Amino acid sequence: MSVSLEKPLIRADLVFRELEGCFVVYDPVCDTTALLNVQAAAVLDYCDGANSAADIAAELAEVFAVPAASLVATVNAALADFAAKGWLQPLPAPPCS
Amino acid sequence: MNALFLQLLEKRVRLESERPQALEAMAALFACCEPHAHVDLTLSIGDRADANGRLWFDVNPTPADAFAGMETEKPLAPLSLARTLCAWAARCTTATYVFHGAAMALEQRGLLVIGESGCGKTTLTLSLLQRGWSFYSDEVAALRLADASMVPFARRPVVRCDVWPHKVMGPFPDLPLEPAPLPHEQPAAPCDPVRLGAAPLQPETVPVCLVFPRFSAGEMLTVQKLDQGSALLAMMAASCSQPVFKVRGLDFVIDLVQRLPAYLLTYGHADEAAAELKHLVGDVAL
Repeated sequence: MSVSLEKPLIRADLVFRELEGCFVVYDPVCDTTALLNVQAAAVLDYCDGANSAADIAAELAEVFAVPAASLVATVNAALADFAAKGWLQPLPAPPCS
Repeated sequence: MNALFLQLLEKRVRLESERPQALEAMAALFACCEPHAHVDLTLSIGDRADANGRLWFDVNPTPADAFAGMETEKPLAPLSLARTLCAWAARCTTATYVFHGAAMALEQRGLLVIGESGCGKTTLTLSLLQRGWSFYSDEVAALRLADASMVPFARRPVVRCDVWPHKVMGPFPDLPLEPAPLPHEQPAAPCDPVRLGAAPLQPETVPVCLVFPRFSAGEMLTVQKLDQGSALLAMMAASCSQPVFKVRGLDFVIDLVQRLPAYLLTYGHADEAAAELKHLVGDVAL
């Protein structure tokens, strides 16, 4: 099962905490700790499996008061980075009909 | 002694020699272990007391078949075994957080010196002990999660031959001018911290300062204040534990770096560094 960047979903076991204007991400599988700035953390926070990259860009545009179009590339780049780090998980399979 | 520890000791750890004083010293390390933790070790424990009556233990290697369940193909060197035990204790405990670092205190102001082997922890430790600091550990810093108080690690500081105290800081009255020659395969030897000048331990001592040292012979002393994020990354990297333990302790570490000042200390002379550390620790408002 591949990771979806269309509707990205953060891994459930990833630990996500705030720290002095940035955010801590601890990955217990790789045993690595990373720091995210607020923008990157906001993108990760919206990775709930329901929002698309465009949805996330729109949400961030409202929060940061900038045009959504200017954020799409940034959001996509962040999602690709999160996927490369293994922070996203595959979407659950749809229920059988 | 902690009841859980007793249970662990009786049911899980087989001791070659059950000496009550040595067991108390072991209890200082394993006081918070959970009873379901499984280990099958045969330990040889020396219970020599120092000049203040404080007890220390040395963990000696035993045949490989004594380490059931542990990934060892040959007997571990004492230092390696001590680290293995620390990592194991860290995995077992729910009440302490353990770092790879030295821990000392000056008048109940605790200092954690955190970093990898070779960064200068032991050199700093020896220099601070000579100046009357209390010794908690030169290798494993353990803090109680409940109140962040420092847990002494009942193992004597291990001093490498090439940094034997008199070579670093001048002769000590109780140490021979020339250390006894050590076998080639044993490049380090444990020393009694009291003989090195350590002050008695004070209860409920908490750390007030985090220091990440970098030793480079002859280099000028520099002190750089670290931001909380950098300190947190360094502390997580130095945590002696398994990922599940880090998840459990992440909030504790975040709280530490939010409350305590953290410094990157680059030094080339231990005496300069020791003087600076006294200032850093003394300047913290309690």
